[in-house]
Amino acid sequence: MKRSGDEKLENLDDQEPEAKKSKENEKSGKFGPEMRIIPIIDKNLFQETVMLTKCYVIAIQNRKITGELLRILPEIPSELHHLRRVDNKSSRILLHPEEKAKDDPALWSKLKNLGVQKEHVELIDIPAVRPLTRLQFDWAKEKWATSYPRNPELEATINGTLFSDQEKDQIRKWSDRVEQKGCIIVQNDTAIASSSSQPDVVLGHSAIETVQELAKMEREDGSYLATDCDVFVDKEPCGMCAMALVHARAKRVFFNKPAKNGVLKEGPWQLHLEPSLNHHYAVFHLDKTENKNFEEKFVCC
Amino acid sequence: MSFMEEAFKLAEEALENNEVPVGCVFVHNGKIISSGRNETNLIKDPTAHAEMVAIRKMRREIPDLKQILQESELYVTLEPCIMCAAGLFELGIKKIVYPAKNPRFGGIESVGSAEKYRVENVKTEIIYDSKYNDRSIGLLKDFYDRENPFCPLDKRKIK
Ligand SMILES: [Zn+2]
Ligand SMILES: [Zn+2]
Repeated sequence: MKRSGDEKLENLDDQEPEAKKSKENEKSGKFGPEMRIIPIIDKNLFQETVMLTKCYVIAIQNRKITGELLRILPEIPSELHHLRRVDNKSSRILLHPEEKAKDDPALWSKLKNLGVQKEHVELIDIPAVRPLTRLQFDWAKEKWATSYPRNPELEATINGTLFSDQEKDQIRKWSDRVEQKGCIIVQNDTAIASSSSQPDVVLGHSAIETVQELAKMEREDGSYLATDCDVFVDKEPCGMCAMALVHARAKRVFFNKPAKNGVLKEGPWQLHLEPSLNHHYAVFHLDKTENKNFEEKFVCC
Repeated sequence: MSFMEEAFKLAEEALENNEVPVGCVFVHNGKIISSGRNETNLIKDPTAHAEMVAIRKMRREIPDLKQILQESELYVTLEPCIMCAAGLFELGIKKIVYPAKNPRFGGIESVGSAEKYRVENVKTEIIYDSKYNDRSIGLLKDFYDRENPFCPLDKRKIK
């Protein structure tokens, strides 16, 4: 499966010529296959368009009456509050959504007094929901002036520019180390707790065990949670481990290998995207393989 | 005394100690083999929920625990959270009995489910015992009223 975000990340990695790349790898001690950092975010964020809905609009003939129009026009329903009332670029003003009755005699007599004719009214497509990203915003605003929540971190995540080269090297280092270890909790590029999987211990999965290890550590700030921490796991966490990391307030979770019982990868239910939870961490898949079909081989343990 | 009554005694003990009031007992062949209550504040461990506390006690004491748990029943005063429920489904515990749903974290049916955790061949029997519903909700309400008397119950986090 290829999404627009993946593509951009791949391109970034492919920018350097091969020769230079291998030299860089020698310098930083990196060997083995390239690693892609794949953000696992809501699929809708990779969409380039938003849903549309039909709405009646009035072409403003005389800008001086805009203020008057704003006073007499019915309120816009709350689900369309992301839209500006007036689209300045096209000199048009929102009348009401299609499903509302077009002919309100009282309103029309007021409109006629202002010189508005029925032929000035048009039924057009407008953005039905608030755009979530810059790309969606740029597309939607061509239809109608709309607001969108600026979120630089999200934009960088989508564009594959979230991590600096130094951060990528650090992520690579922890990704390689956690292959032997199971789970490592990292704060400021320092490991503060880790644990291996313990197959003989009932529910002794490495991630939930590491959260308990962290609780036992004496830390300078007195904290026992993973707030502001990155959690590296070799295998994608199962429901128990993924929720333990929510209880621990982890900031970001990085996993190497998708797991059969994992609940973070793209699928019917992704725990970190569940809206009813009171804490949400960011999730990244650190992909070092060419082979896309290894999912069934691993389990969170 | 019923097993659920025993679980409530532990939930009340948790409340007295300013912990989220949830308690549980594990029952094997009609006998309580372990019990626990929420102690996340006491041992500063965000995973120290009643169910995990009870399981961790047994880890030290019962050899062949996996087999024993598959023959055991859990009586718990609130729907287990996603973490505990996913663990219990993986273990294949025989039966889970609880009297109140947890709309924010509930891992049996409210938010999570065995299907969502991709657990295959789930044999666990789920019993929703509404007889104790008021008592369970009442305890949680007491706890959150103490924490913040101005916050409506449904807006609060339930561990
Ligand atoms: Zn796990
Ligand atoms: Zn729990």
